[in-house]
Amino acid sequence: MFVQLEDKPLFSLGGCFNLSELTLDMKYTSSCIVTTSISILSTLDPIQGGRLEWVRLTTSCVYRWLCKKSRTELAQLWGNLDAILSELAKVAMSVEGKRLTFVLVSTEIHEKCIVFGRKRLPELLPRFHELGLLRVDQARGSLKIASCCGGSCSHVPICMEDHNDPSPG
Amino acid sequence: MPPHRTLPQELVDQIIDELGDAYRDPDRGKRSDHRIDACEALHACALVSRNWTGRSRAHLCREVKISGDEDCLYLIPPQSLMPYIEKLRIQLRCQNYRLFPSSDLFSPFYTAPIAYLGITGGVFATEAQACLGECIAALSATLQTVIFKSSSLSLRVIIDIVLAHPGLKRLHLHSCDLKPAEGDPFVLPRLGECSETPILELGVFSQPLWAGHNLTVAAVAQLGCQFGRLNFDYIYGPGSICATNALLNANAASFSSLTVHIISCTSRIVNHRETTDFC
Repeated sequence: MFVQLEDKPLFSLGGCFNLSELTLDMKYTSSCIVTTSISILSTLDPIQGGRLEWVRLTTSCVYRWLCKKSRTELAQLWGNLDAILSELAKVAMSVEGKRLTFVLVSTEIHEKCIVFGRKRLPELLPRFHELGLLRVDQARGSLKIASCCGGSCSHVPICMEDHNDPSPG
Repeated sequence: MPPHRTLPQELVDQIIDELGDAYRDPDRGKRSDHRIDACEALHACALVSRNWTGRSRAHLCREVKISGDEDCLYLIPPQSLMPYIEKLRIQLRCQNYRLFPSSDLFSPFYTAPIAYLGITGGVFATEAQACLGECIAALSATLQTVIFKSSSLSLRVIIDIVLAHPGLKRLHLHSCDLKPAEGDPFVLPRLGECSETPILELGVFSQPLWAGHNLTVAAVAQLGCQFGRLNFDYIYGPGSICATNALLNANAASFSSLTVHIISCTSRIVNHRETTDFC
């Protein structure tokens, strides 16, 4: 009988000193999009990732990850994402003076998605909310949540945009 | 005095930048295959010498796209290329079934050849519980390895799988939250006589196997009795690493072999949480 502990490295962004845009397109995956995003983003050193300007997360099941779990589970799921994105946004602003934008794109058109997005996001991203950095907008029936920060901008708004426009900026 | 055979680095960079511009903007040239030519030229430049490699790679690796099923997250790009990446796109696609089209998966036309061809393993990724039942009924008794990738797999399904396949030697549950149904006791039937020790592999993606699901030490011990070998992939579960390790170690004697894979970023996330809490 033996117990063996092994490290199995996940995809790592370590060493990506010049990364400016990161797109995670997980439209049809069954895995938790929030956890996967955290796993990947956490491999990026905030100092090294100071040039990061865009983080784009595309999925077809935002509603599922916004609403279908208990409040505690949701807080656990989104808490780390909130912390990591806040950290990246702060460093991007202080080191490079750059504007970091995080966009969560839902490819499903679901009214509940928008309603619950407005209701839950302040709870799910408390750091942004506490700092007054949260904004939620709606555009053309499709949920898009974006947070941006940098330069002289002192807030991290969250907004929505059209998912048919794939180009950042 | 011998002729100077080396171009100044500035000139080399400028030449490579010209190729890089052509690579990114195919309309820049007159010919339609201009971009392909530039790509090939950049690849060739990257092999000329060390002085040419960096600049060439910077153009070739500026935009990187990785696509595939969720296993591609375990792809490790060469570290030497990472500094050149400016735009990274990771596209994950769930594959329903790797052997046959998912729409016809359960028709006799497709299930019959499983036995005929001697296929002994299958990979499934589906959220539909109803389909799983049909799937279990359709699978050949010769199937020895079953890999499920589903976030909605219940313990009842596992039990059905084990009952339907006495010859099962390897059951892999990937990215699953094991959810017992209401009042459903965690009881697994004994496997049939096998020449090899059956293996249960659990890839638990977001939660520890037993967190919130009332899976007890006894249940883990029973897993050990049924399968003998347990490979446990543990990716993420904030604040529960110690509890998981303790539970596994308490039941270590139940297994003839126990391997725990801990994804390296887990500790990083926990540290990150601790740091932010103090702030």
